[in-house]
Amino acid sequence: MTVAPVLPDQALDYDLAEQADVDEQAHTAEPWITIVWNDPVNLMNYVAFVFESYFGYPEAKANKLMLQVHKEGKAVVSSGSMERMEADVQAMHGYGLWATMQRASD
Amino acid sequence: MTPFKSVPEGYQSHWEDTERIVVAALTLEIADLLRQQTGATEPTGADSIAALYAAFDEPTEIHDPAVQRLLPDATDDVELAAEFRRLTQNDLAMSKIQALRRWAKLLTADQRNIDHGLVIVPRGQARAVAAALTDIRLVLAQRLGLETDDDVERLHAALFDGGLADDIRNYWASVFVTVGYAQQSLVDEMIRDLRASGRPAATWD
Repeated sequence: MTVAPVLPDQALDYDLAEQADVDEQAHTAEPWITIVWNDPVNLMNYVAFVFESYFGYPEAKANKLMLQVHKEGKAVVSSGSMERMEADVQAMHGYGLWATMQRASD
Repeated sequence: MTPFKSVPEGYQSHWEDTERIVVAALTLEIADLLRQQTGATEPTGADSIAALYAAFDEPTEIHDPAVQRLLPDATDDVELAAEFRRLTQNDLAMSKIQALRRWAKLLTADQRNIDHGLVIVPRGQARAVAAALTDIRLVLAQRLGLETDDDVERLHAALFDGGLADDIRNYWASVFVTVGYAQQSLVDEMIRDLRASGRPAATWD
């Protein structure tokens, strides 16, 4: 069987300079937040793809959140009503990402 | 296998017969594992009434740690997590099972592709396939005891430095890396298409 290197860092060829434009994170005024946690399996390009395609985030914001998950172990990826966060967590689990929700104030 | 490349029919790559057979068999095994562990039912035909009733039952408790990772608790709040599980576990498990079966079918069903050594993922199925590839790797990682980024990096290093001492571990580590290589190249092409198309609404299909 062919074996090819897929070291997670190889996915990291994004333009970090673009991150200056990234929006600030989820509003703290929203009552619930969805958190995505780091895991050793998901590839960086896949996590960025999920953030970009599911949430509709711009490339720079999706990459910033992906790097935050990778480096800091977690990132708040969305905020809003409990029902919306339930939908987001369910979607993240569908994509194989490890996500949880909690009250923004916790 | 070669990296997936965008072609008019979808995303295409070349696979050796052994790669195709090993990954397809593993994929179906994981679909069966998910079904056994969750008791997931199809929400179709005669089963639909059963599925409706199932939504009011307590969801099956999952004992396999790999399946627990595929269907993790949604929150620290025990009651809310149980409620979430009751409402979503069956659907989530079923959609994962269907995605895994779809991927296995893409590997094995088209004799003309097999004759040419091709695997073609239609664009409409690419998200489901990418998710299935993650699920396969999550199960393999649990079986291989990979818990941290460092564990995975050490595994890669050992694999490319002459292989692992344990033959069985070496075999599954190779499958883990191969599936990752497939996913990485597939997702690279999907990202390119997503950006070129001006960001369509998020849909599974």
